[in-house]
Amino acid sequence: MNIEVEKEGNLQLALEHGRIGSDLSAKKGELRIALAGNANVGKSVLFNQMTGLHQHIGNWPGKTVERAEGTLHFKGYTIDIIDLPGIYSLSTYSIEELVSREYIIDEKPDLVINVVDASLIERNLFFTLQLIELGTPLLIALNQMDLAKRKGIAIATDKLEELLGVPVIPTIAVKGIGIFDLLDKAIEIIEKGQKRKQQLVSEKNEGGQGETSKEEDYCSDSLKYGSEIEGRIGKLAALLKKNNFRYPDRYMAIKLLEEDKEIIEETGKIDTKISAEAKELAKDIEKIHNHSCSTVITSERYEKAGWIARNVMQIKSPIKPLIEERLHDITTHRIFGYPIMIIILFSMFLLVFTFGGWLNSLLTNFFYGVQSIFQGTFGVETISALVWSIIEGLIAGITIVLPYIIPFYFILYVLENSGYLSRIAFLMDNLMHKIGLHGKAFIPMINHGAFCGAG
Amino acid sequence: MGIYYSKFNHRVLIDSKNPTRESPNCYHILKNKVTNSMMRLLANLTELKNGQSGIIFNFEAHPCRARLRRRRRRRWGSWHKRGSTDPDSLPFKTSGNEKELGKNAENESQCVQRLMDLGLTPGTKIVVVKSAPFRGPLEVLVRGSRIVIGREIASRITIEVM
Repeated sequence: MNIEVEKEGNLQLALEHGRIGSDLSAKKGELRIALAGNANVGKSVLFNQMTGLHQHIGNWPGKTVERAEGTLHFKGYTIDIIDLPGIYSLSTYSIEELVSREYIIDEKPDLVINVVDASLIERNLFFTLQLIELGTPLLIALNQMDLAKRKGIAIATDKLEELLGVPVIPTIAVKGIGIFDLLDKAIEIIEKGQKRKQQLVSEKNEGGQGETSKEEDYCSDSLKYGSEIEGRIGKLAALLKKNNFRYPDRYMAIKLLEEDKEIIEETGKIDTKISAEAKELAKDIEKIHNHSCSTVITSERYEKAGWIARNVMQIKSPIKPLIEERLHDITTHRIFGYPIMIIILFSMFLLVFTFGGWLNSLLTNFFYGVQSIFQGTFGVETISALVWSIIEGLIAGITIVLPYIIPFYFILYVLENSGYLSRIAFLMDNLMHKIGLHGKAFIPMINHGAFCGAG
Repeated sequence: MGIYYSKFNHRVLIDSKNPTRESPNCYHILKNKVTNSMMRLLANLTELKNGQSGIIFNFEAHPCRARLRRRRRRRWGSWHKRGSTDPDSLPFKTSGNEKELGKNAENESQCVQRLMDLGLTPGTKIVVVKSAPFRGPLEVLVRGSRIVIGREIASRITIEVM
């Protein structure tokens, strides 16, 4: 990767950012791009790099899942970028998965960028395969290339592109490398898609034949499952074709075989025959493999992901333990883990309280200085005394929030992002279970205790 | 397929997916020697030592071990309540009302789906990297990624020891 070009690219990106107001004449339209991928692959970093401060964080309507949305101006387009929650699959295990699936299906973004962790490619490709099944326009950002390199993993991007049938752009989001290329490619794909759509529409108007070839080609041969499964998927898809569902036929057939509750319900409303047929077919597969059908399909998909990963991946140097891994080993050590935890938490509180105490006394002194000036100018009559008491109430709030709570949240933010909080959860899980809580509840509990003391 | 205990405390090999007490599709009463060697091959994930590896067999609790565990349940760190999903009674579970049973089954299938989504499909090699002290969760290495699994769930993953 040529760093010089990249820098130029980012510069251009920055310029595009700056031209928001002035360049309205070249405006071509609005696009929507969604970022999807596993948790901890650098999706949010990529999102921040793309949108800068033009963000808007809220919740998905009616759900307690964070929805991050941002805008970006690029090549005359106004691009709305949505950061979908980090998930491992498109089943219905969690609300996050459901939210992502429904967003992609119902709101039909112009493009989905699948952020893939290059150092953990097998598990990430499992999710990519599901996105491909969904039949959405897709682009892969092969992120954390630097981490993969340090782990001694080299990935042949062109090979990956060929096997998946999806364009792949290598990126290092933390350093901003590859983002310009990524957006460039995204625009290219969307424009191509729009052209094809127009073509289809015109063909349809002329001959009415263009429709049938529309969704046939989104599963390339290298992504097909075993013949015993693929045959049954085909059978179901043919049945589904007669009805117009909001999901693509192949995806729906797979999900029916996987016994996905939502999909079964949806088909059941329209045609009970199909779901009955699906049950029969699923039973057949179960008989062949002696595992439940969803197990078979998931294994099969992982098999595919593993096969692709083995084909594109090359492990170069003997793996030398990374500094992250060493830190992980020591912080979760069965003996040293606990003293380290106590030291870190203790120093966190010490830092917060000493810094807070210092700032607190500084602020208090300052406000008392103000008080004497205030009293000097306005006197000590009833009204001014009343006003002062209101100000004093505000001061009390400020002298607690500013010195204690803000630095505390900052440190907590750093700990969370470094991943240390989940290490604490790992160490404390069983002890917390004994008082009926989850391991993750340890930090809130400690904080609560400490701040009651502070208050 | 699995080894279960019958009503009369025989070890039984059952060759079907969801046997009920009324209609176990096919079963053989096993001799002790046979079961012992089979049991040696199969174990649940929590029984592996750090660094040991195995291949995932299925997600049904291993009943031979469950029976053993019942006797030493009150070991340090394991006395928190086990809830209604007691692995001992998995294959022939008839107690509890139907709704509860249905809900249990649903939770369980969801849990299994989640494990598989994370890469723990039957036939996959799994390595126990580390287990947290005080019988806490286990850190495992599957398909190149490290995952932490709670001990309760890990105890229901049956594996072939390598």
